Amino acid sequence: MAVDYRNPAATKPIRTGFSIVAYPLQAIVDAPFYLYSRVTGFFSNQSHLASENAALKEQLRLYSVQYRDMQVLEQQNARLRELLKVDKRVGYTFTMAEVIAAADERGRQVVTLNKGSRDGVHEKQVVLAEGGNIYGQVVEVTPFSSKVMELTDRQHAIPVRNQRTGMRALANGTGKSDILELKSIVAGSNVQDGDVFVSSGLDMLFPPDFPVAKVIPNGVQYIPGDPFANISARPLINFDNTREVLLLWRINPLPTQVLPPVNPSAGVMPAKPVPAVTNKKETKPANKPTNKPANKPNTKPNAANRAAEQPQ
Amino acid sequence: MIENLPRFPGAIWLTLLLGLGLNNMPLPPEWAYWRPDFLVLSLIHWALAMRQNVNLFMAFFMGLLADTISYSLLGQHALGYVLVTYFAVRLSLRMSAEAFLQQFALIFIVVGIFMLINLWIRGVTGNMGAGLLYWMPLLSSLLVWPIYHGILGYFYVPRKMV
Repeated sequence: MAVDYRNPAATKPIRTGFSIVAYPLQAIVDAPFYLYSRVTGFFSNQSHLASENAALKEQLRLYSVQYRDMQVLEQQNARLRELLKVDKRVGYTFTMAEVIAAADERGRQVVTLNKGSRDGVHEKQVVLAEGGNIYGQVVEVTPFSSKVMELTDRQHAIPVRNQRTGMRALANGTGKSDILELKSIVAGSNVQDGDVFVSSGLDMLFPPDFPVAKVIPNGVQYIPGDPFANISARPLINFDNTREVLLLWRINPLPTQVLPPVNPSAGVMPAKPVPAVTNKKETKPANKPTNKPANKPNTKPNAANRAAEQPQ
Repeated sequence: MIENLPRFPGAIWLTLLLGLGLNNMPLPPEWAYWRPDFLVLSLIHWALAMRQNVNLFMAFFMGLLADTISYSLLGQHALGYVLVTYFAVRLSLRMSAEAFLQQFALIFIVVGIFMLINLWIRGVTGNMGAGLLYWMPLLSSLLVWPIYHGILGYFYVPRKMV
C-alpha cells in the first residue's frame, strides 16, 4: 500500500493484470443495464422514432452546412497562420466509448470504459462528454478497457480560465459528482455567480477553451481574514448519468519548441486574450498553472494528488 | 457432527464474485451510501458455514480485485478482507451458527473493523468521506444479512459425518 501511495507507477502492472481479470465481471454486471437500454430502444414507439429521426436528419443537414462553413474557415485559418508563421492549429479526432462501470469508493470518481489499448486508447488521453464538455482523463489502460478519472475526483485538478475576465485558476475535484472547487482565488478578483470557466490548456493535456464548470449561485465565498476566496462551481455535465463519452486524439502533436523568438507576432498573440485587469492578480493564481507544464506530462495525477493533500 | 460441503466445485469463488458484482452494481448516489459490502458478508457466511474451506489468500485476491475495480489504494480492500476472514473464522468458533443475535454481534464487529480500517487508510491518504453517512452500511449489513445468508445457503450441502 505504501508503495502504491508513494509510487503508483511501480504497482501499475499488478493493477493492469487485475483489471484484465476484473473486466468480464464488470461486463457481466453491466449486461442487464445494457440489455435494458437496448430493449427499451427496440420497443420504443414508432411515431416517436419517426419524429426523432426527422429531427436528427434536420440537425444533420444543418450541421453539414455549418461544417462546410467550418472547412472554409479552417482553410482560411491555416493560410493566415502560415502567413503569420504561427504553428499549425492542433486538430482532433474522436471515438465513442461506453461507460460500463463506476467505482464505488467515496471521493473517487473513476469509471471504466469499454475501449482499451486495442482501440488505441492511451494514458492521459482526454475524454469528452456529449456536448463537447470535458469529462476527464484516462489513467489506466488494459487491452480491453480503460479507467477514466473524472474532473470531480478528489485527486484531479484542471487548469481553467474564467471566460468573462480571463482570470486563471485551478479547478479541483471534490469527490462529489456535482461540485468543483476553485481554491485560493485572490479575493479582489472579479468572479460572479454564473461565470463559466473553460479549460486554459496550460497543462498541455486538456485542449484549451472547452467549457468545464459554471459558478453556482452564492458559490463565491469569502472567509473573513482569509486573503483568498473559495469558489464552488458545478460541472457542465451530469457525471452520474453520462453513459457515452468521446475519446479524443490529437492529430498533430503539440510541437514543444518550434519557433525561435524571431517573430514578434507569435510571442504577442498568446498574451493578448488576457486583459490588463488581471495583471495584478496574476501573482498568485498564475504561478500555479504556469509552473504546471514543467512537471505535468508525466505526473499529472500525482501533482493533483499533492495539491489535494495539502489542505488536510 | 455436521460438516458442510460446497454444492459444486467453485461454489465459494462464485459467491465471492457475486458479492463483488453486487458491490459494483450501479446505484443512485443517495442509495449507494446504504450499500453494504456484500463481499464481506460472503466471507462471513463461509467462515460460519465452512471454515475449513475459506483461506486468507482467497480473501486477499478478491481484495486486490476490488481495489483495481474501485481504483482505491492497492491493498486497501485486500487488507480489510483478510482481517475480516481471520476474525470471522476466529469468532465463529465461539458461537452457535443458529443464534441470530450472536450472528448480528459478529457481523457488527467484523464489518465495523473492516470499515474502520478503510476509514483509516483513506484518512492517511487524504480521501476522507462524508461523516456519519459513512457508517450507514454497518446498519444495512445487519438488515441484509438474513436474506443474503439465506440465499448463500443454497451453495452448500450439509453432510453428516460419522
